Amino acid sequence: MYSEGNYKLVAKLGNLKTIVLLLKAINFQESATCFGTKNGLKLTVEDSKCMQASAYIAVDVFQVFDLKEDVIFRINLDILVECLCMFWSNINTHASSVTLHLFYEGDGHPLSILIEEDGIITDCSLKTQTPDELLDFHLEPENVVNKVVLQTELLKDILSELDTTSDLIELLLSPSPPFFRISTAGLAGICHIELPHDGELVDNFQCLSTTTSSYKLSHIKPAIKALSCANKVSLRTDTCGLLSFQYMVKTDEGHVCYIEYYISPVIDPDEGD
Amino acid sequence: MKFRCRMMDVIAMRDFTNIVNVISRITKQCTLRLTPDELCFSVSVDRASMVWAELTQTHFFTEYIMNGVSEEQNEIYLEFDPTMLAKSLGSLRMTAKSVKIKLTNKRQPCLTIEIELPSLSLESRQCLHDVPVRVIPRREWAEHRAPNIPEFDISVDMPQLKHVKHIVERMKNMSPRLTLEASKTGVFALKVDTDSATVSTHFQELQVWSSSQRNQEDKVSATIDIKKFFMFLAWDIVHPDGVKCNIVQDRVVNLFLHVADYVKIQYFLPSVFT
Repeated sequence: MYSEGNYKLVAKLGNLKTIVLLLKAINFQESATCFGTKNGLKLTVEDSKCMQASAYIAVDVFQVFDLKEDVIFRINLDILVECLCMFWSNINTHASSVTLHLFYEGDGHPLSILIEEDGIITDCSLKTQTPDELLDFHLEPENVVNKVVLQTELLKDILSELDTTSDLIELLLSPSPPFFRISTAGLAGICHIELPHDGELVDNFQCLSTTTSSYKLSHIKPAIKALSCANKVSLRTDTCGLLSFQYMVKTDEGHVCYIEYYISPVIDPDEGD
Repeated sequence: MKFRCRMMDVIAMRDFTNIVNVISRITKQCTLRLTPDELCFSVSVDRASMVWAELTQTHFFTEYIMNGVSEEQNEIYLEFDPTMLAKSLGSLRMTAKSVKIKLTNKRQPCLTIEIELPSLSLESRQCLHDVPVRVIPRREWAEHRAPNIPEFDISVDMPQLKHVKHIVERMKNMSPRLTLEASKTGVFALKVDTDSATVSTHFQELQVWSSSQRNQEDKVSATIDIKKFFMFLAWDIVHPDGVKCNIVQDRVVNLFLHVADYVKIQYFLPSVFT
């Protein structure tokens, strides 16, 4: 039935563990926009036009990736994640036998996903929508002010213990002390956390000037979720305060996938008075 | 009227506790029917039978004495809150040596549960619970009789409950309704339909016991409340030897589960309109 050549995209994935982690990490909103290009598959999720997350599944992660032309469509990511989680107990083991086949015929057709485990087949037919325009978040290299590359271990503990009563989180990066500081202001008071800017856990620390920007904690939270599946994270900010997290996630076979978050800063109305 | 029984076997005590536990999660009011051979728990919703669980007394009890209302009608019907019984049996899970269950009349009729627990000294400890019950008078018995089993359009073995559970657990988050579908070819499917997707899981090569279908491809289906179906999957804890799914097209789903020949559970799920 699926061997016919009418499909714009036919793909097959074997080891699903990393894929599930990747999709879960960006699943903070119901719908995701998918882009299929010759480089692989990219799924983007946006929230209130001020944050965006993308998961990149490179073409070499797929066992089959047969693309006739570039495709773009929007699907319900919640349902896709739920379907994958039906098999989580098997996916999460070594030598898992769960495979995923993906078929897309083109605009107006559903995205057909077959997940199979030992003869049990889940057929998930996701209705596709024409996506709305996505925000074009990107950091021009010349506008990047600060760049920090560090091991996720360092951020994991700190970010998971942030004062949740605080609305905002302030990030300070500077070439001089205190170098790298995260602050919250909640019911219990103001809390400053100073992070090391050198040492084993920090791979790279490039700061050109002192910058302080505030972000909504609720926007940072989804980015924290991804920390647990990645080894390394790169933090960058630009002249406008736009914050980007880039995670490198290694699959069990050694392929590399990426997750990227862009978070716009909260503009302080008092600033510039 | 008299009822007294005693359980000594560890496995029997564990099974019995598990059964009462599952029932307690389904309902706040259940009926226990006692006959010389069987104990039968039943749960009704809106006067329609939902769960009917028969336990053979000889498997569970080393001692079982019962005298019904009269010699001709040698039965006892009790009504009570199974959560209370489940809580009382809670300590059985630890290393109870034995348990006695008897019908007593303290301030009101009660099922008295006497659990004998081991202790470090020679004397063993005793734990006593009274679960208030209502003795159902004879004129109401008719309402609590065994349900009529309709004739099914198809009867097929269910896949392992463990697998079904993982799937329904997730489908539950997508839709309140679930369609069960089976065909003569031994394919059993679970389906949910939402605004943004249709998800179905297919199991193959299942034993078909009976079928009214002429063609191999004809499918029998019924749509039911997914939460009630999910509750049924909790019976996995009793390690059933076989589970059958019987469907009457668009009317009812009957699930039948048995453990050897001493536990038989019937479950009725009426179909809901879509």
